[in-house]
Amino acid sequence: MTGIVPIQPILVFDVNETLLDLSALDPLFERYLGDARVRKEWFSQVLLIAFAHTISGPYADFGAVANAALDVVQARHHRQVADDARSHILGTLRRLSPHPDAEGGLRRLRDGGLRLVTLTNSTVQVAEAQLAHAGLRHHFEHVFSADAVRRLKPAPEPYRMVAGELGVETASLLLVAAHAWDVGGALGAGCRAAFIQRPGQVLDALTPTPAYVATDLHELADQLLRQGPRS
Amino acid sequence: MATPVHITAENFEAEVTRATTPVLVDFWAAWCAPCRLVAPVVEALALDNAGTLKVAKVDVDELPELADRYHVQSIPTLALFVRGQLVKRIIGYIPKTELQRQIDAAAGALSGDRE
Repeated sequence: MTGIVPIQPILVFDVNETLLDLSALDPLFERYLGDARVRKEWFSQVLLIAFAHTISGPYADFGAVANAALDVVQARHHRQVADDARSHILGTLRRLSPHPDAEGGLRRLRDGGLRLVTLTNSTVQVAEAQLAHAGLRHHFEHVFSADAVRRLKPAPEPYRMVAGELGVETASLLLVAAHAWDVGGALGAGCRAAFIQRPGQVLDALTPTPAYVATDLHELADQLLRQGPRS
Repeated sequence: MATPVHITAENFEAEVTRATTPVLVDFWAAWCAPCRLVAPVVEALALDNAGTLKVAKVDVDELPELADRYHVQSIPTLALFVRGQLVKRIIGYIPKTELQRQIDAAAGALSGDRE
């Protein structure tokens, strides 16, 4: 412990759903699995498998988890997703569009003097490709992946790894995420947190309320930079 | 005052800058683990110095403008005010006896500050 903590945190951004909009996958799920709504079911299955492996082991990287989740939903919906269709879906995951507020919100935060990094459960290779495609990569000092410690968020190791790599206490980090489970994991590891209320994302009653709750990154910038609402 | 005063935007001037005794202001936040080490130390100082030193606490999340005004960039930061002026800044945890010594030295250097 260094004994002091900077008031200005280093912002640690989750990537999928927080910065990038997964709805670009909807037409593919409609095409290959018959219903666009299966995309949300698939992503929930991704998280379920990821959490199960994180708790009980052995470690599986996020790409393998995404594939396994696709197996589950195709079987559940009595569909057979061919290899090229599978590649189409998972390849599109690397080419998602950013949420409309991402570029402007990140720019304001960075111009406001805050340091920005990402921490995702995806591999670094996937995260780098995603951020480059979305045009957001230049905002971030580092792209961190839970894969480096072979335990996925919300286990504490990924958050601690980021603190260690940056040479700061976990309390110096402020995780920004659209998922309650990520917020809870960060708070449990000693970080601060901000919850972004993306459509359909809500905090549960068992997760401690984070220091910041915002509808998008502009509102978060308003709160963090202590400015009035943007004009 | 034997217990720390919770500072608000409304009472800062009255409790700190217009105080007749020296005031030790503890800048802290709920998420700051080192601040939890400092809290019992300043509470003990408030008791030990009742009548001669006021202890006040500023939550930097509640009053970020106050942290900005006094250039508090890291916490815990203890700021000693004498006659409304910030005369001593201590960043991070230090033991109670050393903190008392530094406060006495800073306040004593300004004669007549302690009653």
